[in-house]
Amino acid sequence: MALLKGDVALLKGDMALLKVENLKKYYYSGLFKKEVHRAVDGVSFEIGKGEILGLVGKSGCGKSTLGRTVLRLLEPTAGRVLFDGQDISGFKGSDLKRLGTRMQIIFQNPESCLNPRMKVYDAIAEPLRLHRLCERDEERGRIQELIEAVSLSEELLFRYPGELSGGQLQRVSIARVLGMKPEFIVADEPTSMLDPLVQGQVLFLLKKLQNDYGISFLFISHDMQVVEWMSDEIAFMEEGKIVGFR
Amino acid sequence: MNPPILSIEDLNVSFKTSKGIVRANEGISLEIREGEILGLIGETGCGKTTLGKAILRLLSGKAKLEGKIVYRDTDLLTLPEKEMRCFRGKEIGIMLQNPSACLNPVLSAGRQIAEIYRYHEGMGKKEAEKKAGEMLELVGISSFRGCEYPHQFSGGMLQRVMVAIGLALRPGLLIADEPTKGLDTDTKLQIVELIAGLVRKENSSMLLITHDLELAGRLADRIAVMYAGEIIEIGKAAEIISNPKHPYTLDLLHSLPGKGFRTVPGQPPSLVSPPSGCRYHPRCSFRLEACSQVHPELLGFESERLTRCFLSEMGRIKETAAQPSLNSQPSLNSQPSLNSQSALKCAEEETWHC
Amino acid sequence: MTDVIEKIEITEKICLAKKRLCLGELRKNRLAVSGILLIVFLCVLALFAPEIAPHDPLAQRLDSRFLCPSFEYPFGTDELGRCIFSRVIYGTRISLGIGLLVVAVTSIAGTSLGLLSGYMGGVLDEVIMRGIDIVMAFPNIILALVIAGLLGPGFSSVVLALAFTQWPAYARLVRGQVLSLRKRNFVEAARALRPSSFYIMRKHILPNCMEPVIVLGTLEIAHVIIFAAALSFLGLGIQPPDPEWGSMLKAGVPYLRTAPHLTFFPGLMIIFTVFAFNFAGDGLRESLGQPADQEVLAR
Repeated sequence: MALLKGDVALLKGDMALLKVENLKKYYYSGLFKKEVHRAVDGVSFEIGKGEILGLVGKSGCGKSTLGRTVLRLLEPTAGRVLFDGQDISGFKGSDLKRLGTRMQIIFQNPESCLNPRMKVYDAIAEPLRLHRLCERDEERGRIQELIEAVSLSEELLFRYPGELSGGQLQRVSIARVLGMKPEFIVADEPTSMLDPLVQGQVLFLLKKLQNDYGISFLFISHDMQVVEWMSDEIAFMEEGKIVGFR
Repeated sequence: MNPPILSIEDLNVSFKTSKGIVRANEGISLEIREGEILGLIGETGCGKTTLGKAILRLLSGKAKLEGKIVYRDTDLLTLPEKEMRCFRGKEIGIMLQNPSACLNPVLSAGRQIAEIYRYHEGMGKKEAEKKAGEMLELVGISSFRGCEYPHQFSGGMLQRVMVAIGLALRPGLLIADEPTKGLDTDTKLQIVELIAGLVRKENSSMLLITHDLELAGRLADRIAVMYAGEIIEIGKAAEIISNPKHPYTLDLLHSLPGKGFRTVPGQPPSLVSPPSGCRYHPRCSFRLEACSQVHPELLGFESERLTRCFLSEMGRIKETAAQPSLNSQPSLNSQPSLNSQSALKCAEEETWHC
Repeated sequence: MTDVIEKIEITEKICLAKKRLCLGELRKNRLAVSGILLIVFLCVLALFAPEIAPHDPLAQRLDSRFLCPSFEYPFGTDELGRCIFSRVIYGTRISLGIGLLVVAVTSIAGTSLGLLSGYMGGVLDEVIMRGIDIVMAFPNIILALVIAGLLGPGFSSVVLALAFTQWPAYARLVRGQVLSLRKRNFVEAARALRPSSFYIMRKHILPNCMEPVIVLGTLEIAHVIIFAAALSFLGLGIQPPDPEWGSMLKAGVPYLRTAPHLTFFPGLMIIFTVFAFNFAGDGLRESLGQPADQEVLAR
């Protein structure tokens, strides 16, 4: 394991955008919190700028937990996450808020990843408004750009998520994330709920984002073929541990 | 050729909704033969689940069914509800999607299977439970686990319980609706092979509803492809996989990551107002002028192989399928090649009309 | 098997149910429509009481006590010669006023506490939940009696007493909703934007748990009106001579045999009002629980 880590570090030098060191996420259960479930158990990896790391594993092996822990959507039990050279585990307040624009996540189930009471336009505008990324009068134009980038038609902007199909919803959530110009995105099985024809569309789009904007991805999936096609490097996960890279 | 166990003739299913009439199935004619596995392929919302439920008359009261569904010698659509009840499970079993929602969370798995025997065969409690245990063993779950509750099983195991319920009464026909949805690649194969194995052993028939063409190709004897409420291609599984005649089937086949990973622009059409002419024409890369105006019929030269496409009549799909990048095609989009770089460029050029 | 399948069908429907306000469905429900019409009628009565009532509800005329219903006094007169019809109409103001005010206060307070407790978790959750346990450990009517007794009778003490006993229902309902919403991806996606917790609660969680609160509120109005009438009947609520249905009932009890119209009409009004709100609430609940146009219209 140490050898592997060393090799990878050697290859990438200082280029690593995200560096995860011995990350652990344990869940304690039972009457006296004695039972430990090791969802993520000492994981280390690095992702360079504009690189896609594929993460493969069976369901329940902790890969989704890992994705969320890296983003600090879940607090790690132990270990460090270095983003752009800084340890983000101690971030608070405005630092953490700024981090929100730089690291983002795309979810598996398109039907539940958008607020059903928010129109598509507002969903895409929300991050822009929250982080004051553009002036009010520029907002419309920016959203226009974003939906063009993900090839969504304009008439969908004022509909509710319930009226859109899975592929369209997934593109809305990508546009929403894209508005913040993130440097790193965790894609948690973004296409496993989509039909095969639409799956290709979304994967091409993600690949295009990597090419055009130099975004790095942690691409989580259980479908080996998809991961092979998407990723520059693949990590295999089993029972909370990474058991190999390729 | 075996005689048909179930034949569907010109089935129309429509729902009245606030947005208009949804024609979920239009003019479906199908035969499932004794001892045959028929794969029904299609995208989300193409009406394949509706068809599965229509056979057992499980659709809600809002649905309007027209046509004929004949199981052996009984017309299921005219059968009184009381007799239909005996039919479900006993003659035709069904496995619905999403097992965690289908099983009753407060009854143990074994109990839920035993109930079937008690209701349908009037067995005593002991006997029914013994049978339920046997059934669990059959699907690869130790009978000790019969006393466990649905939440104690993993997704794959729950699916096995569903298989046991579907096959409990040894039905002549099993309808399996997306039995692999949400499962891992490995588990997927195990489950489907288990179902197919059991069905073959009992010499019953199965309607396998799925969107996974590869899976259906591996297990089914024949495949029917559905698009926007219609059957657009039907034939022997091996032939469909090796030589698809409808552009949609071809695109589905190429959309698999292992087979070129080609993307197709657009979204599946709405069933309220499907496109004029051929329903696939807005997304089709072999589109002709006639395609947007005239609705093609389901035709075939051989009786076993039917296709709903003008091109297949002229035998053009075959030649183009063999050579994916022909310049002489009457298409607007160039064919994305297998090279991912140029494919990327194509993805950029595509206009996804949603 | 059949009942298994039926069960499956039902659970599937519940799972697929995109809960949406289908006013079309509501319109088909006759009971709900009549309930809503009755509520509108009651509101009109309350708003235009001075115009509708033929007499001053407090004016005593000792020469015309215990009159039977007649053209001048449609519901007759009471033991002090006051017009029961006018009193019943003015009583609408008080009862509806108490009902709406209590439900407004409790739903706002209960919802906020439920939101906080469900979303923040931890110590705050424990404190709020134990608070709920304490309130719910006493029978509602006794707790309300104690509070109303301590505060002394009157409109505001009735409202306070009822509000204090009713808020846990909302808090528990909302907390449950929040706990399930919190796991939904869109809430996680919103958290990834790193806004304040308050923002997520207001923008993403609250709008998605309002429907059951509205239904509960409608049903609770009926409950509260009965409760208020009961307090007044027991002498700890609205005091005479104010025309409240409960206190009118109480005043009529000694004359139940000789002049039943004293109790009959206020009682009838209570029953009507409670029916109206219950029917409307049930109708709302049904139409909110309806899956939007079945599984076919996914997009």
